[in-house]
Amino acid sequence: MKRRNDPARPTVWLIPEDLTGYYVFEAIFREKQLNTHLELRGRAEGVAKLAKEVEGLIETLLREKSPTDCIIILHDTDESVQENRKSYLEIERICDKEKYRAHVIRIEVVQEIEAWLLADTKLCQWLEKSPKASDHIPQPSKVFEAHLNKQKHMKWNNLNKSKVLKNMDATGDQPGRSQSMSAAMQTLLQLPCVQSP
Amino acid sequence: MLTRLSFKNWRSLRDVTIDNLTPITVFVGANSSGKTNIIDGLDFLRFAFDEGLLPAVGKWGGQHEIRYRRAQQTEPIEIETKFKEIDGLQGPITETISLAFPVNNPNILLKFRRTLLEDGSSLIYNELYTLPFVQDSGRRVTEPDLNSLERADAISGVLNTLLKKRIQLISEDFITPIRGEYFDDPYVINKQGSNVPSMLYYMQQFAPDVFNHFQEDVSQLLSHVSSVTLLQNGQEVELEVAEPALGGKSAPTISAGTRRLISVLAAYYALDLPSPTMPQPRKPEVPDMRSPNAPGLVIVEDADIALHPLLLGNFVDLLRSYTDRKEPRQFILTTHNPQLLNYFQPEEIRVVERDPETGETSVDNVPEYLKETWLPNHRLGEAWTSRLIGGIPEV
Repeated sequence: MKRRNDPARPTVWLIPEDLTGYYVFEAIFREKQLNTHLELRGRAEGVAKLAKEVEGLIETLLREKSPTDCIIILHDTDESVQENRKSYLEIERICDKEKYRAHVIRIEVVQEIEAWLLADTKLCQWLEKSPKASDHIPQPSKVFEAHLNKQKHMKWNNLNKSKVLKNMDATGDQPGRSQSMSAAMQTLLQLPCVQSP
Repeated sequence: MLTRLSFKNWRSLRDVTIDNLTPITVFVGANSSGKTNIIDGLDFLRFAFDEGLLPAVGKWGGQHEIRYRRAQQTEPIEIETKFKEIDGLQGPITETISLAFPVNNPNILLKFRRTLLEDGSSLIYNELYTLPFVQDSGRRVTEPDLNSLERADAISGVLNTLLKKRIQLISEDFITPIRGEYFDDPYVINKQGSNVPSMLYYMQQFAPDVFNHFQEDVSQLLSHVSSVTLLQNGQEVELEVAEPALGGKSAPTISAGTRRLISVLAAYYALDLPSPTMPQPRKPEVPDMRSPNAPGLVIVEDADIALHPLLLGNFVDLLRSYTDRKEPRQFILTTHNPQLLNYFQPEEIRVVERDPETGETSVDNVPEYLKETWLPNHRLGEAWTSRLIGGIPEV
């Protein structure tokens, strides 16, 4: 696949569970001014499909990527709502394989990535609510969707996600907000492929 | 067989070469990526050889419509084709049509280059013409006939006929009418498909063996069709489809998918019609490119439109059986359907992408390594939807 980007800059190849993860990372890269390309790979249609295709995606990307690039697998833990852990364990098992360890980083979001959104200053301001630590909420996506629906009369679907997340300033990792996002940011910023300004 | 297509400044194709075309080549890409521009390039060439270069430029909307928008006016527009393994021609032949539109000059400069590689040596025909460009004046102008550009009659007879008469093109917006004119061209399908009834009528009347094969294939692929019949009614020809469910009687309507599939097969089988120059070709030393033994190329845009997903495998198997026969047949398809891709090999796929900043189209092969990294456990169509080969819309 043709890469349109500047080949001198490294790339993060993101394999997310769904498009929300991609849009959130896109906003994070934009707001934190990371000097790295972000490329989406995978169907991004749920954790079950991710588990089925993740190894093929990694194997293919290992052939495609430059030595300075890195591969990130991103998924929610969904612990409160998903009792069947088979797909999650399969993703973990694959990413932990010795041959992938040097190239693949798995980021697990506690519960759901919408907890990062409920902790985001600008996005919450846009939704006329206060940003809060929400990692403990069982289904933050439902809470976020309810706010979005009430304040903006919008549904939390793929058509609207990109538009909504243009309002994000990626501040959910501030102290007292989302510990999950804070941990993910620490991991991300330590990666050799991610160069802070 | 057409093995290479190359474009310079043709619509969104700034500088694109598509090499090693296979007996079936499938172009995939997002909407507006430039797939149709590739097909249109061949159509332009075909029209130019048939009707003339100036009418072709006019039909395509003038120089501004056919030139890559960011190209300078002085940059020529080029379309190159390479054919090989054609009876009567010793080696591969490359042809380039180059059109330049000089600034402040009403003329078009036409360069025509035909390269024949024979026994390791190159015979090159280079010709340069100046075409007086007429803007809507209605004046008749004399332009060089593309058919007489080169000096070698044998090459001319073969290649020009190949371009004009052996390429069947079914465009994406095509829908076959149930009724057509009796006197339409029975050999070459037109882009709107309006002549399919007359093609089939001619086939039914004058090449019943070919028509029977056509009919068998239609029934094999579409189990709801027991037979296809063409009836003449005055100046019109009407297409009827009989169904077993109706006791072999004609169906009151024919679905779009059925009509489209009938058209694809009609276009293919029209290549098997006896040559109009038979039994006595005008120039016996020139191979008869209108005979069923001559090569044929069928181009189908959005090949799977209105076709049930469970029929796709049989459809591709049928096309493969067509390309396996001794008479050379080739298909170029475009699609937006990942399920259709599942029936092909990576080397048969070309991925068409468009740079959102420059509007420039690129065409790439599918990486060979997918055979090791992806295809052991997944299908090719899934590589497309999993964003591994490109040709996807922006998120």
